Amino acid sequence: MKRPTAVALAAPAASRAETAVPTPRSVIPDGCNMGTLLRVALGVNAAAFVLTIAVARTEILPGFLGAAAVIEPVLLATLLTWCFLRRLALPFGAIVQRLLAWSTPALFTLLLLELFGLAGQGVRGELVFGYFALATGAGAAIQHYLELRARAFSPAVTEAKLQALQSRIRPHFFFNALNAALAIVRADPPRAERMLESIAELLRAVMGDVRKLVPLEQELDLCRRYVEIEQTRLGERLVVDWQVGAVHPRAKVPQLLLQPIIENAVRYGAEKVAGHCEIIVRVRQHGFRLEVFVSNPIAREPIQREGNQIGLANIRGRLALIYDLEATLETRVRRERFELTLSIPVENKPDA
Amino acid sequence: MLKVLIVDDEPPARARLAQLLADCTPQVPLAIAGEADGGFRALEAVDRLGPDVVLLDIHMPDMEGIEVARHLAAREQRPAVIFTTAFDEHALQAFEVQALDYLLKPVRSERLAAALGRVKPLSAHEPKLEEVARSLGTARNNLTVSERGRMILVPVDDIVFLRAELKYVTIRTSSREHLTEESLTSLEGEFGERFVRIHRNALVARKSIHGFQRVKGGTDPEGEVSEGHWEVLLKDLPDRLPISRRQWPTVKAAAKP
Repeated sequence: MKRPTAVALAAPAASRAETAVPTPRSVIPDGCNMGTLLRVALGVNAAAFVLTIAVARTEILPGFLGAAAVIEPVLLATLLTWCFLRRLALPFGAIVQRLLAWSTPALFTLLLLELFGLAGQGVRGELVFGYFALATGAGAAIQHYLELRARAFSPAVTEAKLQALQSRIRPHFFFNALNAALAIVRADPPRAERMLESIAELLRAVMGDVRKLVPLEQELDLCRRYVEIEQTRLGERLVVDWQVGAVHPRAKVPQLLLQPIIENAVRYGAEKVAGHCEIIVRVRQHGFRLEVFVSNPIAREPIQREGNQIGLANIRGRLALIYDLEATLETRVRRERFELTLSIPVENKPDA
Repeated sequence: MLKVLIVDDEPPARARLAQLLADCTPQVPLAIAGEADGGFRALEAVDRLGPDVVLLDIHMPDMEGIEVARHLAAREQRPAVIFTTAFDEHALQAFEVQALDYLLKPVRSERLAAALGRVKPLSAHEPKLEEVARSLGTARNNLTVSERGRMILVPVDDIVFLRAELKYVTIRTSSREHLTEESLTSLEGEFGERFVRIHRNALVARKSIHGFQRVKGGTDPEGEVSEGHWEVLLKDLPDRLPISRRQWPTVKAAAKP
């Protein structure tokens, strides 16, 4: 599947691979994106409210409700249209795309006024023109804001931020893993061999393109290899209960998305708490969302738990960069266990 | 011949050190006295086996290596300590500065032999160790106290209050009393987050404070006039501890949730 690329990336080979943050080829706002939807809806309604206060002065609520009767349908229709236009307008240049985006709300406003027969009776031409100008202005302002925002989160900037967040994977782990591999190299060469292979896999993932989408199965395999290394290191103390339900065979996730979550569980479950440690990992797909649940025992003293938040902040930061508002991460402590629930949209694209 | 004790919570790490020690035997005559998989067991093994050297892992779930070493430093028969760690920037910097010996995992046999070649026992209340611990910001989770010739550990969590007497500090837990030679000031410095000073001579665990009661002033039988003051009521003990006038505002503020 070939796609025109508007922004040339420094690494041509890498940019061909599917990435979690799409290159902004389109300047039309993505009306289907939850983040865009919320931002636009909130922004427009807040602006309308302020405007009503300024104009109506006395009857604020009826005034706002009257305006909302026009604004809400136009808003929804515009977002929906943008969602489709975004794909359809790809062959056109940025200027045409911008004009299309700006005119959408104005056209819907006119259509609505026409439908309710407002244009013909009672309402004066100036007022219709006023609505038209207001809608165009709002459309332009929203499109401009979102385009600037998309630039601020341009692939280069996002990648730099992602790299910074990702590079915090602990060197500690690699040295301990190598130490464990060295320990079994004389007694159990085949096992040491497998362990070194796994270490290499993890190193490759850590050093690879952080935005690369990989099949879920591959990410899970990496997690299993990671756990296997930790089990060699920590012995029988660490038990992981994998509950992987049916997922779409082509489901994809950003590389190294799940591993840090499991690493966090091992770190604060097995390394800070003495004795037996059971970690539960549950992966399920509900429609277009992937739900991951991880539960691990936790130290009794709050002091020992503190570092946990740093690891989590890192994971949250990455999720926000990749998924904006479409990912949710909830955590809670229950019966001396730490429970984490992650929900992300599944990328279900067929292979290129 | 050097008697060596291996301490690490990871079985392969212990196995690796045992292999390397075996490799080192031609250069440095030594014998493996034993292995321990945690801090508490390490202290117990030191008392039982009397090793000359302890190879001590820094990160262990039950007790950090630095704390183990601090408890070892308080003993009369003190083994030499060589720390081992995989990668820990802060710890490494602290060691560089204080020149305590440490090995990086994966450990190389030449490096191990060299470290064993220049072992010297910990000196009493090793000041370097204290400095390393302070620069790492690690407070102990236990206090070492000597009782009838034996060293025992008192979990800091169990302590209700600490009170300076003439030469010692009394450690009061909900079940019994211990004595320590450590000063109240240094204990306050290390555990300032868990304890609040209520008087020149006493620290009380924040979580053990039940409430306060005002005691009226008056004249005692010997004719001395005393002013009114406040006392701390404890959760687990009937003891009442007087709060000095100077500390009262601090104590009151600290007790607020």
